[in-house]
Amino acid sequence: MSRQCDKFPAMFNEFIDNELAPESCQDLQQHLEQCPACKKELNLLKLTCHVVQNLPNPSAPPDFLAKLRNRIDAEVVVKPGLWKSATRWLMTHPAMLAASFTVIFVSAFVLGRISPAPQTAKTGNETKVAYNTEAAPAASAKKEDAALPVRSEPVMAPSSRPAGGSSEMEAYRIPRTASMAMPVSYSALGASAETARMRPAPIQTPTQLIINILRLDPLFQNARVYPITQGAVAQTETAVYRITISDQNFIDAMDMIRKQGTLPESVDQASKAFKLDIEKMPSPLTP
Amino acid sequence: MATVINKQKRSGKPNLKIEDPDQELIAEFLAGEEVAFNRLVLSYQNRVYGLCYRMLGNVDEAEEVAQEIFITVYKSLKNFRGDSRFSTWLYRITVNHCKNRQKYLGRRGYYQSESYDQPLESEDGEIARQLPSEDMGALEQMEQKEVQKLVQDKISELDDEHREVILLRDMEGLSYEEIAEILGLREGTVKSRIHRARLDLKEKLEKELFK
Repeated sequence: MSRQCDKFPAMFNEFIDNELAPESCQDLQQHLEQCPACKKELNLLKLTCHVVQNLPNPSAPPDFLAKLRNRIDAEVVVKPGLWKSATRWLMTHPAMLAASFTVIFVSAFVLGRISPAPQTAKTGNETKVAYNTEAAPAASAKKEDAALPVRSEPVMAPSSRPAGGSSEMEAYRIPRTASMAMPVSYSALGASAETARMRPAPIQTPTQLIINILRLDPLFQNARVYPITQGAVAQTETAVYRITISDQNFIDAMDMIRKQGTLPESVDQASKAFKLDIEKMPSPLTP
Repeated sequence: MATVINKQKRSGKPNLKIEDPDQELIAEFLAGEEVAFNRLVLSYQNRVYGLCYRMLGNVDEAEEVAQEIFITVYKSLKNFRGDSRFSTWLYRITVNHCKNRQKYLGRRGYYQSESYDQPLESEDGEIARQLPSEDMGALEQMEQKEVQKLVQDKISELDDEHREVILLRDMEGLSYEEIAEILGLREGTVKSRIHRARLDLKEKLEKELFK
């Protein structure tokens, strides 16, 4: 390598990035014509950039948004300050902890036995109690969830929508009346939250959208509904329907629904307004 | 934001309002529209996930960290002042989360691919023909996967600060200016780091790939 070669390698990067001044570019190109060593070095450097640029970019998994929403619902509480101070207080008073667990267990048991179905007034009161006192309600929220048979993972706090206050506690109640009982399937969505939420909550996931439409559709009044990723499976007496909507179509659908102000009242109506994937299979129940 | 202030002093231009294509969505979200947040996630999830994957070298870690990043965004968007583009802010959060994860995992936490006993031959640094293309047979595709794994391993071996800049520059295609803003460095520092990073990576690849 001649002495000239000393100054040129420093220019390589800027050259590759098209940031080199025109005169320097000319100098460099002239030099490259005469110097195979520098030419090779530059090529190798270009190649290095090239391999990085051509690395395939793996896409996020298909249920990424759904999982994210579930985590947000579980972790983002309306009044985190109160929750934190309450748990801290509890943890520093073990005797209170033991006592409150007993109280909670008993009250959860009693409440579970006497309340028939989620009612706003009653649960409204519970919610008020929950947020007015300090230690007990924080644990009560915890215990309440533990008392429910369907939760598969420990719950930190009642799920909350930034807007909905009173709907929080009842979100985890499974209605006791037989006609409303819904089988729960464990899917990536943390299904129990979805199944239990029988009243119209703000729709935030494709599954919620489908379930809400199914609730309104007369065809599916007596169907058993199972939430799944991106939608739901509905089992009527005659057939099993697998209804899903992609994330992109869900976004368009929500736009449309917002503009119209109402949900479509049947799956049929919905599929005319936006793109649903509907699979129909014969029911295993019919002989 | 030292970088921004320096830039102003140098160029003498007033601080113009930043044009941000995501501004509307952000405003909608802050006004209570959860769907706007979903939209933001959908537009950036692949970029964030991809960067996490290349920074951390592992799909499970990438998914976990990417989720945490968006949760941070969800909680902190109300504090976002708009003095940079949303994408810049998001990249900064991404880089910081990845750095923290790297520290937690320890430098050797990356998974190493199997050994390569057949270095791919090339003349004069010509390896372009080895990069994946659709009309390659299954065997060739397997080789390409090997190449990609090798490249990823070598990227993982780089110093943290070199890996950051080379991914932001050569993978994400960001300008020096943007990278400087994201990392809180001067443009000159970014340039020299990229220079160093590319040389490092080239040297590593030269041993096993370029012949």
